[in-house]
Amino acid sequence: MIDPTVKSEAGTKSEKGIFARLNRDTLDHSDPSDYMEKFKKGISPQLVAHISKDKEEPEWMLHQRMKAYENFTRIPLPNWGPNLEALNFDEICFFAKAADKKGGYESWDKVPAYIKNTFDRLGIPEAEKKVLAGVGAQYESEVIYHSLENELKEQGVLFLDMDLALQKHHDLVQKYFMKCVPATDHKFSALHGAVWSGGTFLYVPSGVKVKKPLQAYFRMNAMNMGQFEHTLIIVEEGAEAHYIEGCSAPKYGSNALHAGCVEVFVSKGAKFRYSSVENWSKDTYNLNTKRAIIEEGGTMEWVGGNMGSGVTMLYPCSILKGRNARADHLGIAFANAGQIQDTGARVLHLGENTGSKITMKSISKGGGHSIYRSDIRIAKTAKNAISQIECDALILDPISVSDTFPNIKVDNNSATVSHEARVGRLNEEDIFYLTSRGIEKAQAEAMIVNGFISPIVRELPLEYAVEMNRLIELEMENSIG
Amino acid sequence: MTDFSLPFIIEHPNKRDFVLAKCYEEKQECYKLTIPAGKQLEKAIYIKFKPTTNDLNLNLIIELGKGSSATIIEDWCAEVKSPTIRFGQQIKCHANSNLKYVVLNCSSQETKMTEKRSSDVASDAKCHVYTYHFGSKKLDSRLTQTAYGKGAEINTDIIAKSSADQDLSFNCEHDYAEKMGSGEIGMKGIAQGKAILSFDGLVNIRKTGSGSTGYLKQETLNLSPDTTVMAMPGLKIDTNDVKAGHSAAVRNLSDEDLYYFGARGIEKEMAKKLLITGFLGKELKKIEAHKTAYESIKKLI
Repeated sequence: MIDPTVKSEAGTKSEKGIFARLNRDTLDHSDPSDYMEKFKKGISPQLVAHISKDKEEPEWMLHQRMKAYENFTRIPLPNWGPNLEALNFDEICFFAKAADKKGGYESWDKVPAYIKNTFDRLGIPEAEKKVLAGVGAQYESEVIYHSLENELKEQGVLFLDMDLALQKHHDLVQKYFMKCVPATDHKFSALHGAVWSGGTFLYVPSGVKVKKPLQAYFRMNAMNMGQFEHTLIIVEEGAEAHYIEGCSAPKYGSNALHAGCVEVFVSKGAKFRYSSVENWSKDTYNLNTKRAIIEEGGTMEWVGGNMGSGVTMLYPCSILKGRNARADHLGIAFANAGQIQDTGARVLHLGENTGSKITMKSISKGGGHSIYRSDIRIAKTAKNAISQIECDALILDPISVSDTFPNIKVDNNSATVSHEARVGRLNEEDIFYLTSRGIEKAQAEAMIVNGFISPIVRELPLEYAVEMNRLIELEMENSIG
Repeated sequence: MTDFSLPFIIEHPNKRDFVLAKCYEEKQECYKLTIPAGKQLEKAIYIKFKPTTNDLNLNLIIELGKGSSATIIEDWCAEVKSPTIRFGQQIKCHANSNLKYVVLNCSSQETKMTEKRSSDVASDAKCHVYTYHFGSKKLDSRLTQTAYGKGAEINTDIIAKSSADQDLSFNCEHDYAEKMGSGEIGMKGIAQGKAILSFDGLVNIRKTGSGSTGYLKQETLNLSPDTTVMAMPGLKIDTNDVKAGHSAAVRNLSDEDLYYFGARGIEKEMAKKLLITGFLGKELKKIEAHKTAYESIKKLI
């Protein structure tokens, strides 16, 4: 379904690539944030009501937000995984607007210059011209730019800012919004339900195959910012699409919070790929919830790279509801100094002959802590279900840590589940092989790391594979010894 | 050998080769079996439990002195009918000692059993624990082996068959606290009827455990549509100079294997039995040298 010509070779590095010029300054750059003076920190029912009023939302959404806020105050922090007690909700700004343009501008020329410059540096407008069918760009709490190719508009594809979708496609949004990830699920889905703002709405009508990827990029700029974008994707019967999400934020040395939510509905025979390259700053708590419901014969593919954030807790979930539904999860996590990358996957097999495959790679360096966590459940109804899990971890120095905590529960005897994991360091023989051929040790190590992650990276379109490799290179700089 | 009554029977051709004493640890009554330093026991020590009370609470300490070696077989198959058993066990293997410890559990399917076992293994010592569980209505088994000395070797094999409405839950951890430790956890089981079978394993290599090698393997044959099978193979690795891995598999007998037998004129039920025997047979072979234990388990398989 995805155009094979946009697939990359493992380890590709193109100097001319859109993202090949990415450097630490690009990601850490911050714009002036005078607009923040108008916005208060902390969360309250008044703030929740204000967000809803500002967006001129229908009554049911306000009601839903207020119920979610109640849940947020009632549900405790998770009693497993990384310690989140240092996260101070009173120090986070939950809603801020840098520009006031509902639905975002339709041309980059109209976007305020300093915001446009930031996205220029990140290569988004250039990627739009060269490889994408549509782009959404969010800055702080609201979307500032959105576009979609006319041909797709004519085919009935909807790709717009979530706030605008609620106004223009009210019934469709009401039918699906937070039905896949209820606000009662955990503390951060409740928080999201209360203060969500911006995000992407994608609707692909029956039979429409979107060949080029669509992308949304989320940028937090101000200090202590919180971003809570909602992504709602509906892929109707027999339709196909690929959506890419990128994100980044400058580093300030004080906490930021990302608690987005992604809901994907894959209908009968449809196929959808969701790719993300996450590079939040290292003082961000990335507590995102991503989930898909897949109907009969549908396929869901999650491809993800987690490079940034101080603390990440992210486990994309696939609910294989219909018979012959399938899910593939591919992920890379890089935990550098001070980072905890707690990532993994959840798959719930409900339908007959459902299949899932999870491939995860993690790298720990400089005292970083990577954790793979998964939960595979095969229900009684999921006759002949098959699930295969593989995870590999590289620990680059003696002070770094890697944990693997899979959980498998099988309720019928026709299922086959297999799990394999390996943890180790770089192979000395491989390094010797390369260094004896004149390659510097650091470069040899970086090459081996690139080879290690290549099974995941090669699933990304070329430009994004370059971006992922570049981000890994940045993480590897001044590293191994 | 003892001047106190025992809640178990000890069998060995020469009871002077070890010392059995009553003890108190952490305010609890316990029994301590000590193999003196340097003593090499050729024959296995049989500890046969036959509780007569309805509520048995027992703690057993096994200590192997430096350079000693022994095989101990703990047998819960002698018509154990206690509805509730709480069993605690601590093994201490001093430097260069070598212990093979076999647990046979085919207690009545009315029994509810909770067991908490631990072993501390010193430098260049070896401790291999084999547990064969076929009994109990409900079992909560926790076993932790710690390689606290350099070059210690710890191995655990858990073999279980959960049938009818049995609920067997196993938790096993290997903790590598010193350099150059090695070992493997093997958890192999069969679930049938309406049984529940849960394997929870963890290989933990601490920062101080560089150069260690630890593996965990879980395999479950799930034979009935009404079973619940759980597998949780964990790794916790705090340093990079290690080799560690785990695998878990849950499956049924394959149709291809059954077809292979069928094509050779072997009935389906017989083919299943042969395949199950083959699945557990390798594990059974590990105790082939100990005839009594071997025969007991063979019958149960």
